[in-house]
Amino acid sequence: MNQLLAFIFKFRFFIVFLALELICMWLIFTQNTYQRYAFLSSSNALAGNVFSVSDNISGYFHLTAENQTLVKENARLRNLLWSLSPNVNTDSLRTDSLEYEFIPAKVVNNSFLQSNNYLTINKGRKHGLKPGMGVISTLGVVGKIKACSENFSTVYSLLHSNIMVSSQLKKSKTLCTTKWEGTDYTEASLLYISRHVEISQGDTVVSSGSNAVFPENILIGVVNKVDNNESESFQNIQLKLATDFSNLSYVYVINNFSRAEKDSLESASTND
Amino acid sequence: MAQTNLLSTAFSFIAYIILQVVFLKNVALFDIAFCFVYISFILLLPIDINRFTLLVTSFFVGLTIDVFYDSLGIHAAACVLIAYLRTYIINLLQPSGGYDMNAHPTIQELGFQWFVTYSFLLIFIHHLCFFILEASNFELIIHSLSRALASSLFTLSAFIILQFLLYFKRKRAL
Repeated sequence: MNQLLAFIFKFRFFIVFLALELICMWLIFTQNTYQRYAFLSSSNALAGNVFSVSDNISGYFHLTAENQTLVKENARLRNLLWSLSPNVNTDSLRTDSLEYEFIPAKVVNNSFLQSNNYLTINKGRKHGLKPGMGVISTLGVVGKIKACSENFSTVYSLLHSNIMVSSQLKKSKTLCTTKWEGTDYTEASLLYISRHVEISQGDTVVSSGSNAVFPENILIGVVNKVDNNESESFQNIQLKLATDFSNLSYVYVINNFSRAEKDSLESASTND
Repeated sequence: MAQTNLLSTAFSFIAYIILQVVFLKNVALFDIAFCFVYISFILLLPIDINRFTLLVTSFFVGLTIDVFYDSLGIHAAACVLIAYLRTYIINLLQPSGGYDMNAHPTIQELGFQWFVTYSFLLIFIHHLCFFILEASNFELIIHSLSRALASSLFTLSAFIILQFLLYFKRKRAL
């Protein structure tokens, strides 16, 4: 017994070291599966406030670029309005406007150079946000909400190893999946496109709308490189992402009103 | 005396966290060299500090940074690792006369060459551990290694600049 105690005493620092490392590993491997650690993410009140103060100051330096994006977005929406206005009243089957609500939010913290990237936005539970909602910018898909506090939310960026976006080719409606490879923040790859599908450089990839996170036809990117290798069952496709992750200031959170219904229906049908 | 020490340590802790999180979070030279200057808080703690205190402090420093970086546990793991190895590296680099009582591992007290060796070793271990855990993907190992090396050089330069800015001025003022 004495020997055992002496042994423990001799290696006490190593034991403390090992214990702390085990706690770290446990945190690393469980952080993406458990929502209860939300207070240990950047959406907690302290981190959120620090980021929003520093963003208030640095925000002034991006005003010109931000205005330009907003002007472009305005022009695009105006065009859309003109092209829609003749049949807005007659097309009673259009339910898009009722199905989704877009909640604007400001990005107070953004990372795009890590291997797993996150954003912090200045809207939280108080504004009706919930984990799992999709986030888009004026340019395209941004990510998905990870955790919410009262006033802030942490968002998984599309540049995260856990995020896969259900997508489709705009011209042929072929379903596929977009996933980030972990290195370049302007590119992603497109998975599960069989070799017989014709695809060429410059094709547009949009969200498929099949999983209730994003509405249909939100821009994801443009095909940049196609490698049709005979020995593989799928094509290797590189995508130029539409969203400029190095410069994000305003985003929209998508609240899908029919999501709960869709999810419960799908889980009911998989249980059968 | 002990109280002012504790107070100034707490102050430098907050200062390092703010410096890291507000100013250096998205700084990356050529998109591969990051600057994790906050670990100088761990490296500059007194040489004869209690090892238990050192380990626990480092864990909390890492965890605080993790909260802001959304990388729960990764910075903490790397910090605890260097806190553990710090003692051995200090012993390894011991000058022939041994260390003075209450010595701090700074350029001012132990010389430029000693400081660069000491901090480069620990910075590199920290960054290697951090980038490998962060990528958690062995296909990206070359990517992680190059990031670790480039970032170590960047952090080391920031360390040395900080040392000259903060500590030498204070000496002159006294």
